[in-house]
Amino acid sequence: MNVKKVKNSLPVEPEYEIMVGERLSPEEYEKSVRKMNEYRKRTQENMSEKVRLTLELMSLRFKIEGCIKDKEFNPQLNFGHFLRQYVDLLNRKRKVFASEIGINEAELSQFINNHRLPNESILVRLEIHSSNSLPAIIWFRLIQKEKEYILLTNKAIRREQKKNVSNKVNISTKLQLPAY
Amino acid sequence: MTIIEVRTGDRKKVEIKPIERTDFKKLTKKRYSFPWKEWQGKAELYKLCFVGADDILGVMAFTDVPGDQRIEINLLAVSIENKGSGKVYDGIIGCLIAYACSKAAEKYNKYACVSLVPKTVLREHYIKKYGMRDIGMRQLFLEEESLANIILTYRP
Repeated sequence: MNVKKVKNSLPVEPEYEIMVGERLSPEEYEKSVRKMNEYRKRTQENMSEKVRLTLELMSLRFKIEGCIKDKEFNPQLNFGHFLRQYVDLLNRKRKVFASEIGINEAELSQFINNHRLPNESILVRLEIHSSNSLPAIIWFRLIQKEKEYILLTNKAIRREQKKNVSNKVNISTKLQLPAY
Repeated sequence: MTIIEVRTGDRKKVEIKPIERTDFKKLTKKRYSFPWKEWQGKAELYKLCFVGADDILGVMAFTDVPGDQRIEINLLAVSIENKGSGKVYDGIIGCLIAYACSKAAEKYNKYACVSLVPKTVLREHYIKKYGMRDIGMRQLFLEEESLANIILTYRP
């Protein structure tokens, strides 16, 4: 690929940046990647616990944020799913973690297995416990998304609540806005 | 994410989104240094714009290398008015690299890595400005703390 020549002196900010791939011969590229991977293997073996935890928390946060941003909610990727990941990356027993956030193991299990959704105080405790790596607001938004999904897809609640409604407004179904 | 208006020092909010087919008309070689359309289907392509705006300030192509748990940035460019010493905004490239880092971190957790092969003349700049690791090969890369640092610097 053609690229204009960059001035010989180092610019204040790089001009049009990086060209890769094509500029290295396959042999040169392979050698470069191999050396890099060897180096990475060594650094990974010596990774400190603090750095590991920081990176894993970052990764978890991006995953949660990704779910929040997605147009469609994947019911498998719910609050419980991510809470389980959080507990797992801490390498702590569930009983220990539960006591650290002031709940019992049974409650934690209910959250993890998605039998119950937490209130705001639990979300704030998770924020504090994670040293602000997982702010309460991202847990809250995830739960909102889950609740939205439940509200949109729950047929049973519609059947059930129909009994409590009378004298429905009478409109032209042809002109009705589509459901979500 | 924010970039800095050089003249005033003000921070402006930006977002990074996938390039859409209709963007290729705007992505001219004259303004963005490369014929970006050639990369369509060969790499993941992203654009940096002000929040809610259409004008593209920066473009990036990267490929995922799952076998190495690595993302390789193939190409980066800023729009012509943001090049060199007369540029209008600073931090576009940093934001794009940080985005690639966050994608790598999301997918590869603690083993995430972002690599690139800079032009020789820019090599030192990338090492100094972005903390890239240099092991004497053509590739420079970010991993572990250096990768986390870029994310924290450009993606508050």
